[in-house]
Amino acid sequence: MGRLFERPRITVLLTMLVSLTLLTLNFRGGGTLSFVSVKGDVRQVVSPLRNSLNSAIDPVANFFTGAFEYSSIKKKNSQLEKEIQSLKGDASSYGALKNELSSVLSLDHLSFVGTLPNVDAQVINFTPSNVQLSFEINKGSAAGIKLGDPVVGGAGLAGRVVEVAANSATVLMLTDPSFSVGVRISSNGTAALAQGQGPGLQMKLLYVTPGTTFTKNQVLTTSGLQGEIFPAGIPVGKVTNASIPPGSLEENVDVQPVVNYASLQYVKVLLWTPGG
Amino acid sequence: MGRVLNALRLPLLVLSVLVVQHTTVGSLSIDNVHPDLLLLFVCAVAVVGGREAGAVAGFISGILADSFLVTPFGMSSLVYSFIGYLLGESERLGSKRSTWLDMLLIGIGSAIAQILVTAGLFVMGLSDPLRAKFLIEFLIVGGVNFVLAPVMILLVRFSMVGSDRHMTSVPRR
Repeated sequence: MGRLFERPRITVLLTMLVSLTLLTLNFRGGGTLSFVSVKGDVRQVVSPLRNSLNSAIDPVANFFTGAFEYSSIKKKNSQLEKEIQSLKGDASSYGALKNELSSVLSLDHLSFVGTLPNVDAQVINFTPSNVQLSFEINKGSAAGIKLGDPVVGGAGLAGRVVEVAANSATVLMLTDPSFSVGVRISSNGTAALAQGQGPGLQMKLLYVTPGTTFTKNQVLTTSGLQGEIFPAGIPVGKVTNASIPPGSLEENVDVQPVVNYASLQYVKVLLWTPGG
Repeated sequence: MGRVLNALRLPLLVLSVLVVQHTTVGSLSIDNVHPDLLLLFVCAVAVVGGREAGAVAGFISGILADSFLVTPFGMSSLVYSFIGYLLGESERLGSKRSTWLDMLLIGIGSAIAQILVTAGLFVMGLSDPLRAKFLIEFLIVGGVNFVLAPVMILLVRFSMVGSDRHMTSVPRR
Protein backbone atom coordinates (compact mmCIF):
# COMPACT_ATOMS: atom_id res chain seq x y z
CA MET A 1 0.00 0.00 0.00
CA GLY A 2 2.88 2.32 0.91
CA ARG A 3 4.57 1.67 -2.43
CA LEU A 4 1.37 2.45 -4.28
CA PHE A 5 1.21 5.94 -2.80
CA GLU A 6 4.90 6.84 -3.05
CA ARG A 7 5.62 10.48 -3.98
CA PRO A 8 6.65 10.13 -7.65
CA ARG A 9 3.46 8.20 -8.42
CA ILE A 10 1.28 10.79 -6.73
CA THR A 11 3.14 13.53 -8.65
CA VAL A 12 2.67 11.90 -12.04
CA LEU A 13 -0.98 11.15 -11.27
CA LEU A 14 -1.52 14.79 -10.32
CA THR A 15 0.20 16.17 -13.43
CA MET A 16 -1.74 13.78 -15.68
CA LEU A 17 -4.99 14.62 -13.91
CA VAL A 18 -4.41 18.34 -14.38
CA SER A 19 -3.52 17.75 -18.04
CA LEU A 20 -6.66 15.67 -18.57
CA THR A 21 -8.77 18.36 -16.88
CA LEU A 22 -7.25 21.03 -19.16
CA LEU A 23 -7.87 18.80 -22.17
CA THR A 24 -11.48 18.16 -21.17
CA LEU A 25 -12.15 21.85 -20.51
CA ASN A 26 -10.47 22.71 -23.81
CA PHE A 27 -12.36 20.06 -25.77
CA ARG A 28 -15.81 20.40 -24.21
CA GLY A 29 -15.72 24.13 -23.54
CA GLY A 30 -15.85 24.97 -27.25
CA GLY A 31 -15.96 28.69 -27.69
CA THR A 32 -16.96 29.53 -24.12
CA LEU A 33 -13.71 28.47 -22.43
CA SER A 34 -10.67 29.98 -24.05
CA PHE A 35 -7.02 29.17 -23.38
CA VAL A 36 -5.99 31.61 -26.06
CA SER A 37 -5.17 34.35 -23.54
CA VAL A 38 -2.83 31.98 -21.64
CA LYS A 39 -1.17 30.99 -24.90
CA GLY A 40 -0.95 34.63 -25.95
CA ASP A 41 0.70 35.58 -22.66
CA VAL A 42 3.36 32.85 -22.97
CA ARG A 43 4.07 33.91 -26.55
CA GLN A 44 4.27 37.55 -25.49
CA VAL A 45 6.97 36.68 -22.91
CA VAL A 46 9.02 34.54 -25.27
CA SER A 47 8.60 36.71 -28.38
CA PRO A 48 11.35 39.34 -27.67
CA LEU A 49 13.84 36.62 -26.73
CA ARG A 50 12.93 34.66 -29.83
CA ASN A 51 13.32 37.65 -32.13
CA SER A 52 16.73 38.66 -30.78
CA LEU A 53 18.00 35.07 -30.84
CA ASN A 54 16.70 34.68 -34.38
CA SER A 55 18.63 37.68 -35.60
CA ALA A 56 21.79 36.39 -33.91
CA ILE A 57 21.39 32.81 -35.13
CA ASP A 58 20.25 33.42 -38.71
CA PRO A 59 23.75 33.93 -40.19
CA VAL A 60 25.09 30.85 -38.36
CA ALA A 61 22.11 28.75 -39.42
CA ASN A 62 22.53 29.89 -43.01
CA PHE A 63 26.19 28.83 -42.84
CA PHE A 64 25.28 25.33 -41.61
CA THR A 65 22.42 25.02 -44.09
CA GLY A 66 24.93 25.80 -46.79
CA ALA A 67 27.39 23.26 -45.40
CA PHE A 68 24.92 20.41 -44.90
CA GLU A 69 22.99 20.93 -48.12
CA TYR A 70 26.05 21.58 -50.24
CA SER A 71 25.20 19.15 -53.04
CA SER A 72 21.62 20.32 -53.47
CA ILE A 73 22.70 23.94 -53.27
CA LYS A 74 25.36 23.28 -55.91
CA LYS A 75 22.73 21.70 -58.15
CA LYS A 76 20.34 24.58 -57.62
CA ASN A 77 23.15 27.00 -58.27
CA SER A 78 23.96 25.59 -61.69
CA GLN A 79 20.24 25.55 -62.51
CA LEU A 80 19.97 29.20 -61.49
CA GLU A 81 23.01 30.13 -63.55
CA LYS A 82 21.32 28.66 -66.62
CA GLU A 83 18.18 30.62 -65.85
CA ILE A 84 20.19 33.80 -65.44
CA GLN A 85 21.79 33.27 -68.85
CA SER A 86 18.43 32.89 -70.57
CA LEU A 87 16.96 35.85 -68.74
CA LYS A 88 19.91 38.17 -69.11
CA GLY A 89 18.63 39.82 -72.27
CA ASP A 90 15.42 41.20 -70.91
CA ALA A 91 15.77 41.08 -67.16
CA SER A 92 16.17 44.07 -64.96
CA SER A 93 17.24 43.59 -61.40
CA TYR A 94 14.84 44.18 -58.61
CA GLY A 95 15.92 44.95 -55.05
CA ALA A 96 14.58 43.10 -52.05
CA LEU A 97 12.51 46.11 -51.08
CA LYS A 98 10.86 46.26 -54.45
CA ASN A 99 9.99 42.55 -54.23
CA GLU A 100 8.46 43.05 -50.86
CA LEU A 101 6.50 46.04 -52.09
CA SER A 102 5.19 44.15 -55.08
CA SER A 103 4.12 41.24 -52.88
CA VAL A 104 2.14 43.67 -50.75
CA LEU A 105 0.71 45.42 -53.82
CA SER A 106 -0.26 42.10 -55.35
CA LEU A 107 -2.57 41.58 -52.42
CA ASP A 108 -4.44 44.76 -53.38
CA HIS A 109 -5.54 43.49 -56.76
CA LEU A 110 -6.88 40.05 -55.98
CA SER A 111 -9.88 39.49 -58.22
CA PHE A 112 -11.16 36.63 -56.06
CA VAL A 113 -11.35 38.82 -52.94
CA GLY A 114 -13.92 41.12 -54.55
CA THR A 115 -15.63 43.43 -52.10
CA LEU A 116 -15.07 41.24 -49.05
CA PRO A 117 -13.75 43.20 -46.05
CA ASN A 118 -10.20 42.14 -45.31
CA VAL A 119 -7.09 42.78 -43.22
CA ASP A 120 -3.51 42.72 -44.51
CA ALA A 121 -1.04 40.90 -42.27
CA GLN A 122 2.58 39.85 -42.25
CA VAL A 123 3.71 36.27 -41.75
CA ILE A 124 5.96 36.34 -38.68
CA ASN A 125 6.72 32.70 -37.98
CA PHE A 126 6.17 29.19 -39.31
CA THR A 127 5.39 26.84 -36.41
CA PRO A 128 8.16 24.23 -36.17
CA SER A 129 5.84 21.37 -35.30
CA ASN A 130 5.47 17.88 -36.71
CA VAL A 131 1.86 17.43 -35.64
CA GLN A 132 0.29 20.54 -37.09
CA LEU A 133 1.35 22.75 -40.01
CA SER A 134 0.62 26.38 -39.31
CA PHE A 135 2.07 29.87 -39.39
CA GLU A 136 1.63 32.99 -37.31
CA ILE A 137 0.58 36.40 -38.56
CA ASN A 138 1.04 39.77 -36.87
CA LYS A 139 -2.65 40.75 -36.67
CA GLY A 140 -5.28 39.38 -34.32
CA SER A 141 -8.65 40.04 -32.77
CA ALA A 142 -7.72 43.74 -32.32
CA ALA A 143 -7.84 44.02 -36.13
CA GLY A 144 -11.17 42.19 -36.31
CA ILE A 145 -9.79 38.75 -37.14
CA LYS A 146 -11.83 35.87 -35.78
CA LEU A 147 -11.66 32.08 -35.73
CA GLY A 148 -12.28 30.41 -39.08
CA ASP A 149 -11.49 33.45 -41.25
CA PRO A 150 -10.04 32.45 -44.65
CA VAL A 151 -6.47 33.60 -45.35
CA VAL A 152 -5.24 34.23 -48.89
CA GLY A 153 -1.80 34.87 -50.34
CA GLY A 154 -1.08 36.55 -53.68
CA ALA A 155 -1.92 33.43 -55.67
CA GLY A 156 -4.85 31.97 -53.73
CA LEU A 157 -5.98 30.27 -50.55
CA ALA A 158 -3.25 29.99 -47.87
CA GLY A 159 -5.26 28.58 -44.94
CA ARG A 160 -7.73 29.47 -42.25
CA VAL A 161 -7.41 31.10 -38.85
CA VAL A 162 -7.46 28.51 -36.05
CA GLU A 163 -6.32 30.62 -33.12
CA VAL A 164 -6.60 34.32 -32.38
CA ALA A 165 -4.81 36.43 -29.77
CA ALA A 166 -5.08 40.21 -29.50
CA ASN A 167 -2.16 40.97 -31.82
CA SER A 168 -1.43 37.68 -33.53
CA ALA A 169 -3.24 34.75 -35.07
CA THR A 170 -2.36 31.21 -36.08
CA VAL A 171 -3.24 30.03 -39.57
CA LEU A 172 -3.63 26.34 -40.42
CA MET A 173 -1.92 25.57 -43.73
CA LEU A 174 -3.58 23.78 -46.64
CA THR A 175 -1.06 20.95 -46.40
CA ASP A 176 -2.02 20.05 -42.81
CA PRO A 177 -3.73 16.62 -42.67
CA SER A 178 -6.69 18.09 -40.77
CA PHE A 179 -7.29 20.75 -43.43
CA SER A 180 -9.91 20.14 -46.08
CA VAL A 181 -11.69 22.46 -48.48
CA GLY A 182 -14.53 21.99 -50.96
CA VAL A 183 -13.37 22.73 -54.52
CA ARG A 184 -15.09 23.21 -57.88
CA ILE A 185 -13.76 21.34 -60.91
CA SER A 186 -14.05 23.75 -63.82
CA SER A 187 -14.13 21.06 -66.55
CA ASN A 188 -17.55 19.68 -65.56
CA GLY A 189 -18.65 21.97 -62.73
CA THR A 190 -18.78 19.22 -60.11
CA ALA A 191 -17.50 19.61 -56.55
CA ALA A 192 -14.88 17.57 -54.68
CA LEU A 193 -12.91 17.79 -51.46
CA ALA A 194 -9.21 18.69 -51.37
CA GLN A 195 -7.41 17.44 -48.27
CA GLY A 196 -3.91 18.11 -46.92
CA GLN A 197 -1.57 15.14 -46.52
CA GLY A 198 1.22 16.44 -44.33
CA PRO A 199 4.60 18.17 -44.61
CA GLY A 200 6.15 18.12 -48.06
CA LEU A 201 3.20 16.26 -49.60
CA GLN A 202 0.64 17.45 -52.11
CA MET A 203 -3.09 17.63 -51.35
CA LYS A 204 -5.38 14.77 -52.43
CA LEU A 205 -8.71 15.22 -54.13
CA LEU A 206 -11.51 13.13 -52.61
CA TYR A 207 -15.08 12.33 -53.71
CA VAL A 208 -14.33 12.98 -57.37
CA THR A 209 -17.27 12.17 -59.66
CA PRO A 210 -16.30 9.12 -61.79
CA GLY A 211 -15.46 10.07 -65.34
CA THR A 212 -14.20 13.54 -64.48
CA THR A 213 -11.32 14.54 -66.71
CA PHE A 214 -8.41 16.63 -65.53
CA THR A 215 -5.69 18.47 -67.36
CA LYS A 216 -2.27 19.17 -65.93
CA ASN A 217 -2.08 22.51 -64.07
CA GLN A 218 -5.86 22.80 -64.07
CA VAL A 219 -6.72 25.28 -61.33
CA LEU A 220 -9.27 24.25 -58.70
CA THR A 221 -11.17 26.96 -56.87
CA THR A 222 -13.21 26.94 -53.66
CA SER A 223 -16.74 25.71 -54.30
CA GLY A 224 -18.58 28.05 -51.94
CA LEU A 225 -21.40 25.55 -51.54
CA GLN A 226 -23.96 26.17 -48.80
CA GLY A 227 -22.33 25.54 -45.43
CA GLU A 228 -18.86 25.85 -46.93
CA ILE A 229 -16.44 27.78 -44.74
CA PHE A 230 -14.72 29.61 -47.62
CA PRO A 231 -16.16 32.05 -50.16
CA ALA A 232 -16.47 30.75 -53.72
CA GLY A 233 -13.90 31.26 -56.44
CA ILE A 234 -10.62 31.41 -54.50
CA PRO A 235 -7.87 29.42 -56.28
CA VAL A 236 -6.80 26.48 -54.10
CA GLY A 237 -4.38 24.41 -56.11
CA LYS A 238 -3.24 23.06 -59.45
CA VAL A 239 -3.72 19.46 -60.57
CA THR A 240 -0.30 17.87 -60.96
CA ASN A 241 -1.29 14.26 -61.48
CA ALA A 242 -4.53 12.39 -62.13
CA SER A 243 -4.75 8.66 -62.64
CA ILE A 244 -7.03 5.73 -61.89
CA PRO A 245 -5.11 3.04 -59.97
CA PRO A 246 -5.69 -0.53 -61.26
CA GLY A 247 -8.76 -2.07 -59.61
CA SER A 248 -10.03 1.23 -58.26
CA LEU A 249 -13.10 3.21 -59.25
CA GLU A 250 -11.94 6.49 -57.83
CA GLU A 251 -9.40 8.73 -59.47
CA ASN A 252 -6.17 9.51 -57.64
CA VAL A 253 -5.69 13.25 -58.06
CA ASP A 254 -2.73 15.19 -56.62
CA VAL A 255 -3.13 18.91 -56.10
CA GLN A 256 -0.29 21.37 -55.53
CA PRO A 257 -1.40 24.42 -53.49
CA VAL A 258 -1.12 27.61 -55.57
CA VAL A 259 0.39 29.43 -52.63
CA ASN A 260 4.14 28.98 -52.25
CA TYR A 261 4.65 28.89 -48.47
CA ALA A 262 8.43 29.18 -48.81
CA SER A 263 8.09 32.73 -50.11
CA LEU A 264 4.92 33.77 -48.31
CA GLN A 265 5.52 37.10 -46.58
CA TYR A 266 2.21 38.93 -46.61
CA VAL A 267 -1.34 37.60 -46.54
CA LYS A 268 -4.85 38.95 -46.56
CA VAL A 269 -7.32 37.74 -43.93
CA LEU A 270 -10.87 37.79 -45.27
CA LEU A 271 -13.33 38.91 -42.62
CA TRP A 272 -15.95 36.55 -43.93
CA THR A 273 -18.76 34.79 -42.13
CA PRO A 274 -20.00 31.50 -43.63
CA GLY A 275 -23.43 32.10 -45.10
CA GLY A 276 -22.91 35.84 -44.67
CA MET B 1 22.51 33.73 -3.25
CA GLY B 2 24.25 30.65 -4.59
CA ARG B 3 21.22 28.51 -3.77
CA VAL B 4 18.95 30.95 -5.61
CA LEU B 5 21.16 30.85 -8.69
CA ASN B 6 21.24 27.06 -8.53
CA ALA B 7 17.46 26.94 -8.32
CA LEU B 8 17.18 29.24 -11.35
CA ARG B 9 19.35 27.08 -13.58
CA LEU B 10 16.67 24.58 -14.58
CA PRO B 11 13.92 27.14 -15.32
CA LEU B 12 16.47 29.10 -17.36
CA LEU B 13 17.40 25.96 -19.26
CA VAL B 14 13.78 25.13 -20.12
CA LEU B 15 13.21 28.74 -21.24
CA SER B 16 16.35 28.60 -23.40
CA VAL B 17 15.26 25.29 -24.93
CA LEU B 18 11.82 26.78 -25.66
CA VAL B 19 13.33 29.84 -27.32
CA VAL B 20 15.78 27.77 -29.36
CA GLN B 21 12.98 25.41 -30.45
CA HIS B 22 11.01 28.37 -31.75
CA THR B 23 13.84 30.13 -33.57
CA THR B 24 15.81 29.28 -36.67
CA VAL B 25 17.40 26.23 -35.02
CA GLY B 26 14.03 24.67 -34.27
CA SER B 27 12.87 25.45 -37.78
CA LEU B 28 15.64 23.33 -39.29
CA SER B 29 14.23 20.08 -40.56
CA ILE B 30 15.22 16.71 -41.93
CA ASP B 31 12.85 15.59 -44.67
CA ASN B 32 10.37 18.21 -43.41
CA VAL B 33 10.46 16.77 -39.87
CA HIS B 34 11.52 19.17 -37.09
CA PRO B 35 13.59 18.16 -34.06
CA ASP B 36 11.66 18.36 -30.78
CA LEU B 37 14.06 19.91 -28.28
CA LEU B 38 11.46 20.29 -25.50
CA LEU B 39 10.83 16.56 -25.65
CA LEU B 40 14.58 15.98 -25.54
CA PHE B 41 14.74 18.18 -22.43
CA VAL B 42 11.96 16.20 -20.71
CA CYS B 43 13.61 12.85 -21.47
CA ALA B 44 17.00 14.13 -20.28
CA VAL B 45 15.55 15.44 -16.99
CA ALA B 46 13.82 12.08 -16.45
CA VAL B 47 17.00 10.12 -17.10
CA VAL B 48 19.11 12.40 -14.89
CA GLY B 49 16.60 13.32 -12.19
CA GLY B 50 14.29 10.32 -11.97
CA ARG B 51 10.54 9.77 -12.07
CA GLU B 52 9.25 12.75 -10.12
CA ALA B 53 11.52 15.28 -11.81
CA GLY B 54 10.64 13.73 -15.17
CA ALA B 55 6.90 13.99 -14.55
CA VAL B 56 7.09 17.62 -13.38
CA ALA B 57 9.45 18.65 -16.22
CA GLY B 58 7.13 16.86 -18.65
CA PHE B 59 4.09 18.71 -17.37
CA ILE B 60 5.70 22.16 -17.51
CA SER B 61 7.36 21.56 -20.89
CA GLY B 62 4.09 20.18 -22.25
CA ILE B 63 2.18 23.27 -21.18
CA LEU B 64 4.85 25.45 -22.84
CA ALA B 65 4.77 23.32 -26.00
CA ASP B 66 0.97 23.54 -26.18
CA SER B 67 1.19 27.30 -25.86
CA PHE B 68 2.88 27.47 -29.25
CA LEU B 69 0.81 24.92 -31.10
CA VAL B 70 -2.78 24.78 -32.19
CA THR B 71 -3.07 21.38 -30.52
CA PRO B 72 -5.55 21.15 -27.59
CA PHE B 73 -4.16 22.61 -24.37
CA GLY B 74 -3.09 19.74 -22.12
CA MET B 75 -2.30 17.16 -24.82
CA SER B 76 1.48 17.56 -24.78
CA SER B 77 1.62 17.98 -20.98
CA LEU B 78 -0.32 14.72 -20.53
CA VAL B 79 2.00 12.76 -22.81
CA TYR B 80 5.23 14.44 -21.71
CA SER B 81 4.57 13.95 -17.98
CA PHE B 82 3.76 10.28 -18.61
CA ILE B 83 6.92 9.82 -20.69
CA GLY B 84 8.95 11.73 -18.08
CA TYR B 85 7.72 9.41 -15.36
CA LEU B 86 8.25 6.31 -17.51
CA LEU B 87 11.84 7.21 -18.43
CA GLY B 88 12.47 8.22 -14.81
CA GLU B 89 11.90 4.58 -13.90
CA SER B 90 15.45 4.09 -15.19
CA GLU B 91 16.62 5.48 -11.84
CA ARG B 92 15.97 1.97 -10.53
CA LEU B 93 18.89 0.78 -12.65
CA GLY B 94 21.22 2.79 -10.41
CA SER B 95 23.78 5.42 -11.29
CA LYS B 96 26.21 3.08 -13.07
CA ARG B 97 24.31 3.15 -16.35
CA SER B 98 26.23 3.72 -19.55
CA THR B 99 25.79 6.87 -21.62
CA TRP B 100 24.72 4.67 -24.51
CA LEU B 101 21.81 3.32 -22.47
CA ASP B 102 20.75 6.86 -21.54
CA MET B 103 20.91 7.93 -25.19
CA LEU B 104 18.90 4.89 -26.23
CA LEU B 105 16.29 5.55 -23.54
CA ILE B 106 15.96 9.18 -24.67
CA GLY B 107 15.70 8.22 -28.35
CA ILE B 108 13.05 5.55 -27.73
CA GLY B 109 11.19 7.75 -25.22
CA SER B 110 11.05 10.62 -27.72
CA ALA B 111 9.70 8.38 -30.47
CA ILE B 112 7.07 6.93 -28.11
CA ALA B 113 6.01 10.41 -26.99
CA GLN B 114 5.63 11.49 -30.62
CA ILE B 115 3.49 8.39 -31.30
CA LEU B 116 1.34 9.08 -28.22
CA VAL B 117 0.74 12.73 -29.19
CA THR B 118 -0.26 11.64 -32.71
CA ALA B 119 -2.52 8.94 -31.25
CA GLY B 120 -4.10 11.46 -28.87
CA LEU B 121 -4.76 13.87 -31.73
CA PHE B 122 -6.23 11.00 -33.74
CA VAL B 123 -8.63 10.18 -30.88
CA MET B 124 -9.71 13.83 -30.93
CA GLY B 125 -10.13 13.72 -34.69
CA LEU B 126 -7.26 16.15 -35.35
CA SER B 127 -4.69 13.92 -37.01
CA ASP B 128 -4.35 10.80 -39.07
CA PRO B 129 -1.61 8.52 -37.69
CA LEU B 130 -1.65 6.52 -40.93
CA ARG B 131 -0.57 9.46 -43.05
CA ALA B 132 2.25 8.77 -45.44
CA LYS B 133 5.20 10.00 -43.39
CA PHE B 134 4.22 9.17 -39.84
CA LEU B 135 6.83 6.42 -39.39
CA ILE B 136 9.58 8.68 -40.73
CA GLU B 137 8.53 11.41 -38.27
CA PHE B 138 8.85 9.11 -35.25
CA LEU B 139 12.18 7.76 -36.46
CA ILE B 140 13.66 11.19 -37.17
CA VAL B 141 12.47 12.73 -33.87
CA GLY B 142 13.78 9.69 -31.93
CA GLY B 143 17.01 9.59 -33.94
CA VAL B 144 17.79 13.30 -33.58
CA ASN B 145 17.10 13.21 -29.84
CA PHE B 146 19.30 10.09 -29.55
CA VAL B 147 22.18 12.00 -31.16
CA LEU B 148 21.62 15.20 -29.14
CA ALA B 149 21.07 13.33 -25.86
CA PRO B 150 24.66 13.61 -24.49
CA VAL B 151 24.64 17.42 -24.85
CA MET B 152 21.23 17.79 -23.20
CA ILE B 153 22.18 15.36 -20.41
CA LEU B 154 25.25 17.48 -19.68
CA LEU B 155 23.17 20.67 -19.61
CA VAL B 156 20.53 19.10 -17.37
CA ARG B 157 23.18 17.67 -15.01
CA PHE B 158 24.74 21.13 -14.77
CA SER B 159 21.34 22.69 -14.09
CA MET B 160 20.44 20.17 -11.42
CA VAL B 161 23.69 20.28 -9.50
CA GLY B 162 22.98 21.13 -5.88
CA SER B 163 19.32 20.41 -6.36
CA ASP B 164 17.62 17.73 -4.26
CA ARG B 165 15.90 16.69 -7.49
CA HIS B 166 19.21 15.36 -8.75
CA MET B 167 18.93 11.62 -8.96
CA THR B 168 20.13 9.40 -6.19
CA SER B 169 20.21 5.73 -7.01
CA VAL B 170 17.15 3.88 -5.83
CA PRO B 171 17.76 0.32 -4.77
CA ARG B 172 15.60 -2.26 -6.53
CA ARG B 173 13.01 -3.55 -4.08
